[in-house]
Amino acid sequence: MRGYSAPDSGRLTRLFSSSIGSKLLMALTGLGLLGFLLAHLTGNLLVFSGADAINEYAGWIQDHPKLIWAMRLGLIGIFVLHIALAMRLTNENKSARPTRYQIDATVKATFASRYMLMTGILVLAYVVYHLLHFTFHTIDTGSMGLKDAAGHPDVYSMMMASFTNPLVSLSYIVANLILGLHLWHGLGSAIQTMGWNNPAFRSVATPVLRALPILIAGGYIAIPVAIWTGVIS
Amino acid sequence: MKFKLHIWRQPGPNAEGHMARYEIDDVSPDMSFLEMLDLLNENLHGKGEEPIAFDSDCREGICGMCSLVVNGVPHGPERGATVCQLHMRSFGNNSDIHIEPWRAKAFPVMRDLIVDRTSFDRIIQAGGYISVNSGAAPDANAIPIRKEDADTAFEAATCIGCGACVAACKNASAMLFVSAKNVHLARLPQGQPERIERALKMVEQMDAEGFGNCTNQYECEAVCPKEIPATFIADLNRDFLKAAITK
Repeated sequence: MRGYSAPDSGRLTRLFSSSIGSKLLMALTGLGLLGFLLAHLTGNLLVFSGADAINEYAGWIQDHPKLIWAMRLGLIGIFVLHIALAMRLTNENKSARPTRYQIDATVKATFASRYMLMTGILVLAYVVYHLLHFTFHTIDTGSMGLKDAAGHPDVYSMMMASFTNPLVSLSYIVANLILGLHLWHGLGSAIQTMGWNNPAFRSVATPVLRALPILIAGGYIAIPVAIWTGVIS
Repeated sequence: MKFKLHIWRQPGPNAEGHMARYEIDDVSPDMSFLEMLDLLNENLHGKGEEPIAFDSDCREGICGMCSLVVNGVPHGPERGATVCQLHMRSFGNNSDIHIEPWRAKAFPVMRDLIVDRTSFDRIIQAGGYISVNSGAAPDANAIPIRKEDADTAFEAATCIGCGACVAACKNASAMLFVSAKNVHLARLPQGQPERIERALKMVEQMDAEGFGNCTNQYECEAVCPKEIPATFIADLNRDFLKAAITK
């Protein structure tokens, strides 16, 4: 058992090798990914404004490759860091209790908090599936990779062809419910880790923290539901 | 009342342990949980068997010695109470009761239900103190302290260091304990000079002892016999992050 000794390495190394510092990085990368989810959702919801709106948006993205690649690389970095930290923290947590209880009871931990690792792994699987589907078109559900009359990528037709298929719609709905569950615990957890959980902050922030996961998951789910049920046709 | 007890038996720190089954009757509903174990030990002693080793001292919920996980919950089903304040009337007659020691790498089992909690002492030694000159006691109320701060500091200071927070945590994290020790000094003027070092040193010692990382599930505050709130952990996080970035 080593006692406390003044750290001789850099401040950042000391911070991020500590339990709280690692959790801070977990929280910050999580919030970064949340920012991406919000931006991505805003773009997707253009489908409700019709084919031209969302196709034009997709065209704009393709016209700015440098910006998009910078965003992609940043996003991949954040995502990998988030996963790597989750693996390290989970391993440490498992080794902190080498002998498990014969009777394992839970008093107040929420379902979302107890299955963070599981929902996280499922979200990762969903990201891979989603990329193979809409980015790489390896999973072909029809109308993939077409151009519209204005020469923009025809995202609209691709979404219509995909989400009129009940199985594809269902897979996206379930995946986003799992994502919502992950965000439900993750958001509150990030606030606590950053030290902002006090009565004054909570009175303002709690409604936002509760609404955001529902709005994000609900927003993404609204698209397949709207196409599947014919609201968008 | 009658009970079927399943109790962790382990002859020494490095010995293999197992759950042993005992039956006990003639238990009064008004007996405390520890008095029930005393009765069981008397019976075992009478039969020439080795009594069950468990920690206890004050038996009125203020010393923090008793440390039993009852049916998977540290200190058992009563909220805001230690296991010595738990009464047998809380259990159904003829029911099964599972009794295990605190489980954490930083709390190794010494014998049966007794664990070594000196890792908590080392955390306190690392930073959970204030330095004062000895001499005559200072005048009471010489330093003005806001009532809210005094109340919060007192609430934190009610932590008896039993370790139920670690035992309940899915990750065997000691954050609730360390946060209570941090807040009870950080909210008072006397705690300011060493505030930065305190948060740094206590957290670094906590990590070195092999406690897990808090995942904000708040099982700790649910079982804490003194009902220390998990918002204190946010205070500790803030103090530590500020210290780690500025110090």
